[in-house]
Amino acid sequence: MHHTLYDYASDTMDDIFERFETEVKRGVMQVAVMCLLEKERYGYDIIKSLKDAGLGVEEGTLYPILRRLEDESILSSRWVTEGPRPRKYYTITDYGREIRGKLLESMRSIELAMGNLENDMNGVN
Amino acid sequence: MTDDYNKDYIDDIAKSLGGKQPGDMAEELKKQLLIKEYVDAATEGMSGQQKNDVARELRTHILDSADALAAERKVPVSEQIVKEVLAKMGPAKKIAAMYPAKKAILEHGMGKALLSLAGIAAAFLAVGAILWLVSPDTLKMTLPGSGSAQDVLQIILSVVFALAVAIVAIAGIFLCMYLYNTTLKTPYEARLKAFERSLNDKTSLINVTAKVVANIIWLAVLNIFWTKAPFIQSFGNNPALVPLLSDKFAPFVLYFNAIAIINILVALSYLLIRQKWIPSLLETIVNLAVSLLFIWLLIVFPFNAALSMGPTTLIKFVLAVVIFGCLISTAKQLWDTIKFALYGRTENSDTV
Repeated sequence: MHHTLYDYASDTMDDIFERFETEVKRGVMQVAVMCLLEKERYGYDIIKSLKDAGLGVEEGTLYPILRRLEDESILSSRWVTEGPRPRKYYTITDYGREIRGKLLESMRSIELAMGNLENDMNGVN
Repeated sequence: MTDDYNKDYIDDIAKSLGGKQPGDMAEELKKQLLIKEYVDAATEGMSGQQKNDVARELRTHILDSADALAAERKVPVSEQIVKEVLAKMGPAKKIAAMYPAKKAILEHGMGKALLSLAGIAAAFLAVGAILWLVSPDTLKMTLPGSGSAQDVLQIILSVVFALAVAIVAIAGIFLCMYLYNTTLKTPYEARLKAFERSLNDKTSLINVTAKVVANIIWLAVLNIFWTKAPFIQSFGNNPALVPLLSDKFAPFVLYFNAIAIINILVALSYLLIRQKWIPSLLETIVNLAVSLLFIWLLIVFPFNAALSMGPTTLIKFVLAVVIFGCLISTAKQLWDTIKFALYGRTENSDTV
């Protein structure tokens, strides 16, 4: 099987795009999780809601993020062992709400700045 | 609670195997084994409660996902479905690497500094205990020419006492800073991280204060104790203590004093000068001067002719190691200076 230079460039471009997308998504996912956890939810439920909202991710990556947010007191959790399987339920803390507010504000200003940059770029082209 | 995960695992296998044919049992075991292998890989490196919690959570997720996928396709949960679920989860090693490493306070830089001091104190006590058991007379040896009847035991106890005071003082300072940070409403991990970052950041007030305090302590210790520092005259059967240094060392004291004062000024200049490469370059020059001073010390050592070949060689070896360390530190400092000049900051500094 012959690989052309175009195939190689295309693979590299896919890799770069995937890396960028993963980095951006991981940051966004943390804020999205904070938004979802106004109501108490467990991991599988969170992933379903993220997918419904159009934020599909590698499912396993959610759990380290939940752990990190919990370590940073942004989320609190409790185990519910009644029912067929033990489930860990998460909810946002007051401190988390404070941070979420700031992050959403920051994301809005980033979005605005990117929009301006995109307009400038299109204007130049 | 630590074994909850294993209990869930065994319960599930027992439940799912109940009343099944041998072929179905093999299929069930294969599924459970796949899940266990994945969860074990994802929790590798974790221990205790964290491992148990993460394992239970991941296992529940895999089983929930497998049930949902099987229901969607209107088929029973099979090995193939479990494999698909695991593929959607992503590589187990990647998940393991994403989990935050939970550090105890003693694993952070400041904790390590306190542990090192405690270790040195324990080592001194251990030496005292061994000497007391093996050669009690050595503990009663006095230092000739010191003008006081200070024996080895007293010296060991004073060093341990000084280290204990230092540990309490440093721990007290850290505690005050930590308590101050608690008023900032930041969580434990973030507080420790911010504090450690400040300690490593040459441009931070904490780092500058630590350097100034360390240099003042060094000045005090050097000027008060240099004439009294004892050392074993020889490594023979009948060791005697003699002064390590003599009047010939006096000029070096002046140079070391000058360097300590310059060090304090350079540390303060990180707070005062906007272009951080300037104090960084000055620090590089000071480090180089310290290296040269130690090379000079190595050349002219010993200062007391009473020291025999063995102790002299040992001290010269230690001086050579110190010179090597100083040169490495100078090179690192030069690299930091270049980074300050090019980017306006190093990895640890907050200056932009």
